[in-house]
Amino acid sequence: MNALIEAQELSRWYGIVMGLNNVTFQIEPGLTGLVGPNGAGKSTLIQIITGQLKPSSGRLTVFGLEPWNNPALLRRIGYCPEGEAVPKELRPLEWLKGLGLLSGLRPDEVEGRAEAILDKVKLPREHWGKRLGQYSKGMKQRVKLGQGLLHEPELLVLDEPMNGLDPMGRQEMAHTLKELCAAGVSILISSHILAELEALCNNILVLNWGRILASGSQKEIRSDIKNWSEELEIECDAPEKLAQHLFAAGVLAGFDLSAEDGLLRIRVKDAAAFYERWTGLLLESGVLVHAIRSRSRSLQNIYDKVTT
Amino acid sequence: MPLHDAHYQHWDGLHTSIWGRRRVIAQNGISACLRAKLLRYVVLLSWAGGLVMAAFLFFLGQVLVPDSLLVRWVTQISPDMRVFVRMFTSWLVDHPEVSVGTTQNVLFYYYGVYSMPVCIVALGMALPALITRDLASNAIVIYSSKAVTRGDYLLGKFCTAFGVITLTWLGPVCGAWFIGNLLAPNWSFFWHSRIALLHLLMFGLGSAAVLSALALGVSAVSSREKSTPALWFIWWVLGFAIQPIAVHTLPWLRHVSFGYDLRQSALAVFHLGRELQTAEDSIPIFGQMLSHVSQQTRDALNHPTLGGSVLGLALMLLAAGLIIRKRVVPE
Repeated sequence: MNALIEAQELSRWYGIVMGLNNVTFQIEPGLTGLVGPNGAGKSTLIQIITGQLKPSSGRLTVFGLEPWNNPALLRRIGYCPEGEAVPKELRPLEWLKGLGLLSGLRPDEVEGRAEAILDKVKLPREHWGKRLGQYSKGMKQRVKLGQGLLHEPELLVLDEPMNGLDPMGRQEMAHTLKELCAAGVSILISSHILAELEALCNNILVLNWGRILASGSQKEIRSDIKNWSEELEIECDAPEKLAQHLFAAGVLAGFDLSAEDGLLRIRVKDAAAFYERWTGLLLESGVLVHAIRSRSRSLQNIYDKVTT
Repeated sequence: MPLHDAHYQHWDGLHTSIWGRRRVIAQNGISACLRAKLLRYVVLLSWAGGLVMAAFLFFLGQVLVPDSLLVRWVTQISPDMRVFVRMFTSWLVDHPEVSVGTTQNVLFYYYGVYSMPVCIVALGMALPALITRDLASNAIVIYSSKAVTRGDYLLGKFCTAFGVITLTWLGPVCGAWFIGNLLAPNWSFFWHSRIALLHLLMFGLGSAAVLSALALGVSAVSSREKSTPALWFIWWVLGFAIQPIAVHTLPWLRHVSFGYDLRQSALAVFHLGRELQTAEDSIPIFGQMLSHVSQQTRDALNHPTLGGSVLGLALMLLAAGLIIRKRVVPE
């Protein structure tokens, strides 16, 4: 598969501060999450991808082209920045129409398209007459997403799009993004809310201190992490008995008991060997199991492992 | 519309040209400026001034025609007046380059220079809509992620400022020239006033470009909507106020005022001293009228401080450019 975004020894510094430090990576088409703490270099990377910043050294291409000072490429990219970034004095349709024209859309189309986009991002029509300064944070977020989609880009770059959205809004946003992805739009999304990224993105890019710590699918990253131990939380009627049985079978690296809650948390030595024997071990133990949850497969866990 | 349903398609239709997109920035900027009711009143006031000037040119044209209604009415007042008016009219008719060309050149110098404050006030009101608001809301990031560069954005905003100047100054001044000469007794007025128009355009377009660039620079200084107009007006008024003090103490300090520098440029462009001398030499009555003009004033008219003014304006433009580079142009 051709890489959507490709960086070769990319660096960007602000005076003596390194924003990105000699990073090389590829992002494939699809939905990709950008993860990292504050100051990791996420916004710098996004700004380079969207042509707002020029790399200090190295090269970054999107669709094989460099974004810096390249309006023809920017026409193919939609960008939804972090923060409010909307003019308070305008109404959403006025703003979107102006942005549509700025993107090169024809005047006779732009109004219908702006209306369709506001419907798509589920901004209630009764609020269309208000000025953007009167909008809640969540409504501004929807308008911002709308402006990113207005010119139907092939790549959508979203910087913390879930900020300010209520749970319902987040769910709707996730649904919209999945729908767009299914329609062939590639999406790069940066967020602090790892649980939501986990549900949305298969591929992730982990950044810290301006370096890429991991990139690829969650499965690939897990398999690359040394000393990765699988952690499971088992809800059963006899956690002590089950712990004894698994310990005797020699598959456990460690465990925690919470007998009053009926919970057993285990860490296994060899995940592949454990899952091969798991059903048999469970039957042999004679313990009634109510629920099993993986605690190590979360994106938070991957993030913790690669950043420590 | 592809997006009316749930399906999403990439846009593969025709796009407008880059100049069309720059025009959108300028057009939206002017619309945003004109949302302020006060600015709309200033525009009306400017055009009313233009109409007054056109009316004045109309009456001036009537003086040059011996059988015009105005001349006939004046000559009926008294026999002495009839002789005076006939003599005056014949001088004017004998020297059309002076009576039309020089007169309009002088009139347009004064009209251009003295109506400029209206456009400076209008620009002050328009400043927030140039760059300030985009910096305040951070919408500038979204604009520059579209299919335009920051250079295009700045060009669009420059055209916005230029548009405001055109609406409040260049338009009324040039309109007055056109309407005034259109209502003149014959078409030769257009020809005889061509040099006045050329001077007017040279000064008007040059000043409009300088003022637009300076306004962009001030607009980019802060992201507070009240700060940038305040800074603009303080700069303008302060520059105006220090001139009488600076002339006796530190003459170079006068060039801190962009208004002073532009007035000096106007003197150089319109050749006011030379034009008045021509009028004095060609038409005796003008010579008598201008005889009381002091030598100091004549020197000031003949020798404007063009070098200092150009340097002053260049330094101001440089400062504006640096501010814009720091605040607007991405690194």
